[in-house]
Amino acid sequence: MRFILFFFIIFLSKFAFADFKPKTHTLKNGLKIIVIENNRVPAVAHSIWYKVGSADEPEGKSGIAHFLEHLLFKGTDKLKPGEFSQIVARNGGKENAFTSKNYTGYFQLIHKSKLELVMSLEADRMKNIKLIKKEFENEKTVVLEERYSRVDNDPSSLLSEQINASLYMNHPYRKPIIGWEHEIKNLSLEDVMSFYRKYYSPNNAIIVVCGDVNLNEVVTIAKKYFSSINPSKIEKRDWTQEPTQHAPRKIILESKNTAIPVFKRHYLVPTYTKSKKESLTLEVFSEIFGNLSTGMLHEEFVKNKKLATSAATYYYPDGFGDTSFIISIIPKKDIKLEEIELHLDDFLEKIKKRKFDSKKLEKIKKRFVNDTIYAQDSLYMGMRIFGSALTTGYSLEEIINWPNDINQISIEDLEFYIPKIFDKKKSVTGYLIPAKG
Amino acid sequence: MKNFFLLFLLFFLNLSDLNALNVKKVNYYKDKNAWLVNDKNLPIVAIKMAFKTGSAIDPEGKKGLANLTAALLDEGAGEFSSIEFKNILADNSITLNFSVSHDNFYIDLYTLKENLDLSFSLLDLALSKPRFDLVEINGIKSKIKLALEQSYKDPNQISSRLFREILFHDHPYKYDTLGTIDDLDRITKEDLINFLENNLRIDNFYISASGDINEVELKKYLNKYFKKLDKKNTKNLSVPKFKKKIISKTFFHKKDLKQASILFAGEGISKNDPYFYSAYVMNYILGGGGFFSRLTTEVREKKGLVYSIYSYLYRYDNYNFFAGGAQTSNENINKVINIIKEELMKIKKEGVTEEELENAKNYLINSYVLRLDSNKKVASILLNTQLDGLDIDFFKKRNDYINSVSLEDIKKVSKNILDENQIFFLIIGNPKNLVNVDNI
Repeated sequence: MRFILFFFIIFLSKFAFADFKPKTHTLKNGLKIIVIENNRVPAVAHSIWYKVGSADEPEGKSGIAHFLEHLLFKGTDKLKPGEFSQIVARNGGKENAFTSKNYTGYFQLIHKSKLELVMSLEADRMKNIKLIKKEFENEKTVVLEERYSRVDNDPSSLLSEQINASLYMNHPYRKPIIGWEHEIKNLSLEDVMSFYRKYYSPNNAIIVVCGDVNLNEVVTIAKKYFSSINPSKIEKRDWTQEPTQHAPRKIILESKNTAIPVFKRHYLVPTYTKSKKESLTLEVFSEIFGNLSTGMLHEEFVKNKKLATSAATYYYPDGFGDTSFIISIIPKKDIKLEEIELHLDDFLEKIKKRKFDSKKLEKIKKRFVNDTIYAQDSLYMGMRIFGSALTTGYSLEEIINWPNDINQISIEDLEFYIPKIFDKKKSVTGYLIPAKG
Repeated sequence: MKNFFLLFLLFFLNLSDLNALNVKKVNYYKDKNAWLVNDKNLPIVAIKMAFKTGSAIDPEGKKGLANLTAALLDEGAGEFSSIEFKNILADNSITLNFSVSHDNFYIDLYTLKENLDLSFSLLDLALSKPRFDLVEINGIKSKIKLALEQSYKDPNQISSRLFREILFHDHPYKYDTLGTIDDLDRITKEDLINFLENNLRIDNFYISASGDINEVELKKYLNKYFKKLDKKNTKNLSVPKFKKKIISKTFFHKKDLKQASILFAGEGISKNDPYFYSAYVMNYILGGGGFFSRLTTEVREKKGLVYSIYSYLYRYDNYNFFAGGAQTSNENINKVINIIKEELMKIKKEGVTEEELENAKNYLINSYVLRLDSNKKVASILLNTQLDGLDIDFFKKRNDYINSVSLEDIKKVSKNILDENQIFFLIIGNPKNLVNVDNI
């Protein structure tokens, strides 16, 4: 991420999309355009999403996708370094960018009369960035400082980084998005530029606009600025896959920078693209089982047994191949992580055999459907939901049908898929332990 | 080709966008008004409320009382246990949060229009019949204590704790809103009940709403549920005034970290000061803009020394300050601090350029509409404007305030705010070459 975001919380995977009415068009060069009209204020959230992320990086070059995201602000044939941001700001726009395992996105929030300006700027930097060695080396230290802030100084991020590298034994999701420190240090200007040339093209991008504008207006502008850019040959993603996993793994991280011990358990489970019904069931289950204030795990660990101060689960359906189902528990003072783990394993055995209540299931499904209404209460949210879903394997139709599909999930689905989640051989357990002194 | 994008740069000062924010005052009881923006785009309502009472009035020996009370209000009320209460909220997609700052006690309600009746009755139940079961009190206390222990270990939290202790000396603002570990043990159920009784009163209550609710509906709910907060014979606790005495020292806390953190602070400015907007624009240019402020340009863009560097103006009810910070590798601390000092002094001595002022005004005026795209954001702005003691005409005047700031104004206000004798620095890290520092 290019700058720390103070103004939004990013946790979108459970949100959906029912009453959004997206319209779409694809230019001849393959550039896809999605417009979600929202007329509350005369403004737009404009974004461009490239279907390339950290999982696409060549071996030994981790961090390229994110580094490149930073460099897209460092000038083109027409703009000086930093000028992009200056133009956006003096026209009253806010902007930022983000990199994930699967995609890289750039956005501007701006008055609707400035949509043409920001689209012309994005068209310019799709192909024309120009970098000098000095800017490149400067930005490398900025990225390293970002890594030190976000990961090295933060024990829970450090633990997640270690767990991921162990959970995925062979799939590229094992690499941290920001990159390994030693590999960031060794990146060359040519490494980054060849990555840019390979992946930044109209047929590998999606424009998503949410705001006070219609499809025709956006398509007209897009044609003006993007239609002269030729598509390039994008190879099909061919990522290495996970082998059969035979043994549970355990990571223990001691840190002087925390007073709070944390228990984590990550299970390898399918993404939406790998197994749709299973993924939808996992989303529903994670809400019933792991909601931070109403979930079964919270009830058992925090309220009934009084072993923990918080207990929750997280499931991220996005992506290709497998993803994680995460259990996170913070023990009460003087409760050992081993005790948490023993009780969890017992509890999960019971859950596997448990019968679920159909009334409860219906209520939970209603929560999801209602979330789709709230998700429309900001331009940013609509843009972010569609952009991230479309670049992580969902079709537009699947996004629109998501609430209906969630509504189809039955008690039988839960009882069939839940026992499959908690396979310890496909898991990593993480302990974060405060170091003495 | 440098002028390629110039055709778009016809600056616009579009005041009409703000008039679209149609704020109404809804008189719901005696002289009490709520502020409302009725927007029917979505069948949802965001309501934000605040009592002017926060952790700064926590009594000696019971620091953490206000926050503990807030944290327990959704842990069971009336006939519902904690779990039951939270399930009703979640199953009806109602967000109901209670929280405190040093000065305020906040209530956030975010709900579907169809659930307004239920939402208000649950809010009323939480405020008037909280259960305060001992088992829940102990559960929340242990959670808060854990968070407080973290403020002695986590690098960012150590920084902000020490920062408050230096800035506020012996004033109650120096405490974390969470309180202190020892004091939490002393807080009883009776204290919680008394806190609600004494401090949640209609005379210090502010309400704002945005969404699919009209004046009549809003008035009906507010009158029904809140007129009982018209209490007599209650003690009015106020936060002691704070006398500023910042000394231009550099404080140092040694901690073995890969990356050090730098914080600095000095004199601030009140929102009611005629020069407030001059300071606001100056800070945007110095370090508030983020993307290409002077600090970011010099320290990040030109030298690559940091990922994040910033400055801001902050307001408490009884104290205003100007502050900023950066994170950098241990060996670069001196370099970064020197550049920060240089940049502060440059603005103090020379002011800013005409172009910078123009760009800042364009951004600050034209980006305001982006704060109004959701009911949640609109409700927040309406509430904060009330808490600042301003009236609804503020929304019509705000852009003029910014537009009228001159180069001279900025110079004038910078003399007070960017005074090197009144700015301290705090460093947390493990550098080798620091001199002239006070170890803390």
